Amino acid sequence: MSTYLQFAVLGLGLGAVYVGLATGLLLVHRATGIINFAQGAMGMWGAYVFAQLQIDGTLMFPIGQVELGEPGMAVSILLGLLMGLLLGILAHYLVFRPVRHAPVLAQVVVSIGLMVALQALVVIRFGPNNIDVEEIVPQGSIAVLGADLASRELIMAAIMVALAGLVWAYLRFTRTGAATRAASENERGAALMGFSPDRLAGIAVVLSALISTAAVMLGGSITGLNPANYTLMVVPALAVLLVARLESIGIVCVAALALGALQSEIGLLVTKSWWPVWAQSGIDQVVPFVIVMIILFAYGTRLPSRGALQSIRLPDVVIPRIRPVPALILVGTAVAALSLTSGELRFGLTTSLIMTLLALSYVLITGYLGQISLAQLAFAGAAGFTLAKVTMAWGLPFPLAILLCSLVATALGMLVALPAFRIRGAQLAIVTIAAALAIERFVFGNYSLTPPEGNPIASPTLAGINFAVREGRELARLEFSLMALVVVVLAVLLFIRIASGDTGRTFLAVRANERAAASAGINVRMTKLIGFGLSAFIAGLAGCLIGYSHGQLSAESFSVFVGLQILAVAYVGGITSFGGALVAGFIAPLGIVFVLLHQWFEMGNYYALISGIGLIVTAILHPSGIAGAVRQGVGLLAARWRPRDQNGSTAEPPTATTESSERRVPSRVS
Amino acid sequence: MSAAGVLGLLLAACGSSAASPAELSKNPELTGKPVVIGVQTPHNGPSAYPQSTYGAQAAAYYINHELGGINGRPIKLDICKGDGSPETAINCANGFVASDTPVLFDAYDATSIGPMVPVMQSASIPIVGLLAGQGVAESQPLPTSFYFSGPLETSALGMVTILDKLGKTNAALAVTEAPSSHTYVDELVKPMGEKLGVNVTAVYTEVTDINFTTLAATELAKNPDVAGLIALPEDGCTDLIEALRQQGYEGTIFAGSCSQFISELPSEASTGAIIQPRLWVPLAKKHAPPKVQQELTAFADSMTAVGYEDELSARSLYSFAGVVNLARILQGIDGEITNETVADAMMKVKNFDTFAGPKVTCDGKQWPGKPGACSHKAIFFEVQPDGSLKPTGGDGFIELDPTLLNDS
Repeated sequence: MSTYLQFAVLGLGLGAVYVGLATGLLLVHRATGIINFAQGAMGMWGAYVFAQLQIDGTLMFPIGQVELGEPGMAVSILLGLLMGLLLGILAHYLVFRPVRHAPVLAQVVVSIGLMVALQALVVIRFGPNNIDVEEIVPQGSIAVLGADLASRELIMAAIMVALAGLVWAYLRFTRTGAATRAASENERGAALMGFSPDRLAGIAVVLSALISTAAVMLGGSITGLNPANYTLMVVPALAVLLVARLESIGIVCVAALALGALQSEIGLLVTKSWWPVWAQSGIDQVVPFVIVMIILFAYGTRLPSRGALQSIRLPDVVIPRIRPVPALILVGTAVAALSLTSGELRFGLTTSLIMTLLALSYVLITGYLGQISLAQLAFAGAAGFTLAKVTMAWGLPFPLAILLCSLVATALGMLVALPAFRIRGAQLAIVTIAAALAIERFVFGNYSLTPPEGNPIASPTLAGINFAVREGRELARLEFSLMALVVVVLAVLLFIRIASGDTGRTFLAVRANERAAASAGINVRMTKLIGFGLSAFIAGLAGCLIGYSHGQLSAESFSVFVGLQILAVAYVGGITSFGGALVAGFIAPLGIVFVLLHQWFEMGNYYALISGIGLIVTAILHPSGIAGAVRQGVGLLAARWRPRDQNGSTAEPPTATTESSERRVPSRVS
Repeated sequence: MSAAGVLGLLLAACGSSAASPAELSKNPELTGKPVVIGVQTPHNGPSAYPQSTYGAQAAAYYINHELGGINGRPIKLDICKGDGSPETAINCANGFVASDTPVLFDAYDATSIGPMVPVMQSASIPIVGLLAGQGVAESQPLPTSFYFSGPLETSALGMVTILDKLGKTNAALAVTEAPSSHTYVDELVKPMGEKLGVNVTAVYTEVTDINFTTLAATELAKNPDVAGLIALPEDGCTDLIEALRQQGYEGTIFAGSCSQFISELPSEASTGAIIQPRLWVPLAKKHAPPKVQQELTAFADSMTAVGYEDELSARSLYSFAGVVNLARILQGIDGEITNETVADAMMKVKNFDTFAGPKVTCDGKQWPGKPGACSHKAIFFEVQPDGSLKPTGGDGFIELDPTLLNDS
């Protein structure tokens, strides 16, 4: 019994970090309506600065550094917090303020971009390995009820709860705090009263950066600091935030400490002999996910939303049509490009094709249906891993194997759709990222499914033709590349058929306004189910093709971080059109641009940094991505060349009319 | 503003000043056409160990300046830096195939080699390394891979063997959360332990998310007579051992193949700890046989010559030794150095004296189920009060008995 008490107290250390991160999340949300996926990463930067100062006295900036000799503990703490504060200010002005009135998708995307960019920057500046963080609170133990309890964790929890208490007092008792709360109910009202919601938001973001930095500085001494652990700690912190219904700091404190203690107890229970062996991996990530699912399922519709002023719309969706001539030209170009290249270039082009398919699944679920899903790559991975089992163990022939595995992905997608019935927007993003993390740890990392010899995938053959990707020194056989092209073309045709038909219209109706769609007689639940299922199917196809092109599957190809990178790439390409998916395919990891860049430069850790920054810039400046920008640019050029009509005004840009005729659909993701 | 342009500027700014290790390794007296071998190193990404790269670069220096190159031809390393992602790894593999490299040296890049195996196997390019960080390559039939020490399971089997020799009965050890860890704990360590009367509890932990206090407490809750770890990254080792001692544990500590903790923790904390590296590591020089002492001196000198005098760790030694072993085998090849002649030469390796290591034979029969393993020997050291390492049980490598694994 005393062991359980000991472990519960140990878990309070982790719980203290959750208190800091969840309080920060709550502050940002109340002031701006944004769910800040980068909260953990933001807290991490200041902690890294503190740790480095204690290690060798170097004060690190994003660019450049200053030698400070031997600063004491107090100075280091202050400098670390100061850096956190500066980061908060920068984040507010450069990242959050520009998207305060943008659709939720842009806000989610921008905070994910910040998360990816910060993590990459930390790797570049501080290195990829764990670094030691000097203890701020010394270790020790106190005897309580006959058990030796860790005093450090108790003190940490007390410190963080006190800081959270200060935040609560700020919101409750100060004028700006009350104004922040008022603005979260009704921004226009607050503005009319003379408060600047922007300045309130800035203060809140800075405070949240401070409290999160404090949390990570304390927690870092228990776990060391590395670029991944605190970045991902935002997921359990989000679970805590949801439990607190996005508004109560008191519940945040209790829930955070309880979650920390629970995870610690599970860590102990897992070592017991009676604990099932298949449930030993990743169970501590499954717990927050299950909590999130339960809360959202039970209380989803009753979670508070903000009375925000939303004035920027999501980019218009362009309804695709199958136009034979351009389609044939496109396919013909693809065939020519594949035939005329060889080796690494053809491999890069083929991978770009497969990534186009993956990006298409994002276009379907997010661009058309308006649901934010961060789990698409997990679906692809599930299909890929099933493929490994199915081809090696059952020897299922190739076209059947792909279909079966994609159906597995579909089933998984529909499962994740269930919480989507009740929730949307950023909350759905939270569920899907928690699901992706749980799948990554509990399924891909599960040793019962993945032997140490790896997950080889048998080569696809059909009617005597070998469609394997490689043979001898040939890195990318034409048979495989053409087969991949055929699969992609079929999937795109399926996509266009659906998007331009009735189902497509119901998707767009649901995207625009769910309640209005429901009152018009559309079965919103069924629509969401179909949307998730279909996009997961397409992701599954991509996952299978990835498996065939690699010849053997690794869990690392489908991790949460890679999934966020693919989302970044899909968004930058343009998440509302097939053209965007095409661009995304080009710039995706291991695609043609990746291969070329790696040949010319040593990319090192810069690919991740560039994708993170690219995501932020695109979300702020060009929500319709590169494809949208290209379309606009082409439209402007064509408008200049068109003759003016009698009224002196220029004719409509041809791309707009030919591509979408009267079917332009303005929309908002709510 | 193009990303490429900005990147180019950044790289130009960073890449200036001193001569690179590649430059320093060149020896103008060697005039033949360079022998270019591929090297895969875990240089970037979340579980990076740049020391693996440094060791290989120092080996190139040693080969060109002390060993006379490869029969008068200088050796040149085509290094591809992995970042932990399969995508970069496959890109590296494609590059090696396209540039016709005769052999790929695995500088202990665990997450990259697995995905590279299908590509290298298809092109019949053998993978050679000192130790494998994954089980994919070494379980494939020859000549897919050749590793100059035991397979992934060596640590597990060796650990249970040494614990039995030391008379321990209850071990609680941490291990990184990975499918391979579970397999070798559940299918190897535990049954073997049972047979030998050693009860082993494994405590799994995510490598990027280690809570050391909780980890130590979980181990100590079992009242073990041996605590510590089977495999963790170096920082993880140091912090866990510190946590164990801080929680009052005074018994034997088993520290896998870590060695950083010896210099970072006070002597009371580290004395008596048992470690199990793959070679005679630099800290063991004092108690090593003369031949090994000379080799370790040569290692230190070469690392200093290329600017890495502060990076004398086990990881840099593993790369150094592996590349030197490979070069000496390549010296024995008559004629063209191609993937086929290299594979042939590797398969003929018999009782070969490795650098700071045991004699190895690469006939595919040294370890059941792991054709790529060339050895079933292991060496264990005990940390002395002065921080040096003394071999336990005899004066060096001992034989492990992998057939014990099949009896269960």
